Amino acid sequence: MRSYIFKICVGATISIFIALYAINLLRLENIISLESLYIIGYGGLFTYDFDSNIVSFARVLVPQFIIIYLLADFMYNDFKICSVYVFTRANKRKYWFLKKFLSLLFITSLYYMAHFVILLVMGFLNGFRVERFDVFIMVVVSSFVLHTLVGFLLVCSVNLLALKFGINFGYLCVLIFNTVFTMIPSVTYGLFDNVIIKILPSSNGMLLGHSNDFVKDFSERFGFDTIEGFSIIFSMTYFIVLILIIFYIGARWIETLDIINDNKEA
Amino acid sequence: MNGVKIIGLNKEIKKNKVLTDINLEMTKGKIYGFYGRNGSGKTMLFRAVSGLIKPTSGEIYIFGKKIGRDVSFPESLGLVIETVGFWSQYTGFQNLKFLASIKNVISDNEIKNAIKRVGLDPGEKKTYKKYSLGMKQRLGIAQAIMEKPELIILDEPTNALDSEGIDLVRNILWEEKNRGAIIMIASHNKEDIQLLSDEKYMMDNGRLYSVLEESTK
Repeated sequence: MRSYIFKICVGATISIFIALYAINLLRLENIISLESLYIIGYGGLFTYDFDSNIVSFARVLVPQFIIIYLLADFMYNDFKICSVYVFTRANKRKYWFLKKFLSLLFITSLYYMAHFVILLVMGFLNGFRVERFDVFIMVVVSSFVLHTLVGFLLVCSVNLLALKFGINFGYLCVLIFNTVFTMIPSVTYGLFDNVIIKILPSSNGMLLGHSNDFVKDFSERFGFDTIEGFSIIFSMTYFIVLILIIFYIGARWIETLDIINDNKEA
Repeated sequence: MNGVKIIGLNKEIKKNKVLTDINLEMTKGKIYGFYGRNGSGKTMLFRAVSGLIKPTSGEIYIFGKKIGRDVSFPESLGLVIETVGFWSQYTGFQNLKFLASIKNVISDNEIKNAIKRVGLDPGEKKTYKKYSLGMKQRLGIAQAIMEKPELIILDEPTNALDSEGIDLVRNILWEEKNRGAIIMIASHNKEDIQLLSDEKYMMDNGRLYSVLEESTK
């Protein structure tokens, strides 16, 4: 696991570019609040308008692509390297899966923690300060939880697909679906009471767009889009339910998976 | 039940029958030898007993516990299946220490003793990738016996070994048998099977046949 932690810490340095982007954008507006810095850096898409969104798409998708890529082989490697020796020392396949599942959650949260710490340090060094502590905490905590949950959902999906169909297929699948899901709101915004946006994992993983008061304040201040009746609690519940479903499917499937492609060396 | 019981075991992979109606009982303190040409089903049978593959139908009980229902894998198992693979960047001791940490039932000294038993140096600084084929095979056998398992499954245990290594492995198997372990071995080397096995079985096209000739041992 240590090698994965090292890799994701290196991967998290992408946040330097996100931080530079957010710092420069806010400086143009003479804003130096750390809350705003987190909203610009990690709030998600500012608007669902496709044309003005290319940088936003990159800012949202690239960190996700990195973590998916770095962790795609996390479970697969146990099957490929010494699987015979590792598995036959575990009493239950489910326990192995649970352990791997929780490790993935830990590593994913560490990845976003590194992102957030880098942004905090860079913001602080560039003169950004907390404006309202309660809002700062709400922005950071809710944004961190949403990022971790959507990231975890993605890495779980890629790991299970990798076990079934191979790493490249799994990675490509998640990459394509996630990109499409992130772009769908550009087409469906304003349609069907935005129900489609509310059920997409990508939009649930972004703080912006939610209708909680503290998010709305930022959206109104910066002119970002908001979806009414779209609360952060709903998104968290949504992710927890999805993750539990994936865990259930994964655990059932691991139980019946033949371990044949084994005994390759690391 | 104080051993291994296989009842009506069948396994299909991609519509090919790789194991057909296997029935077998094995008791403690005996060596069971399996031979047959490549693809006859020996390794698949070993995988099924180890819990690595799920039977299409049939049941496997190891010391009273049903594989796939009570436990996913036999609780006390030492296993070498075909080509031995480890983490190439670690030494032999580091590899075994990591594997031992999963169950955490043996000490570093016991790991070192297992390495010594197969004729390797536990203090060897060479990483696994620099091991010769024979050393890799010996390390595989060391990991299979280090936790003193009740069931030992060895697929081609004497592959890549020189005559001294073969003698060493044979002696280890006898010692383990005398300790009370059930040992299943598969080998192309008929001499291994003849010399070591208390009961011999031939596999052909996924079917198991008992070989009733008198054991030479």
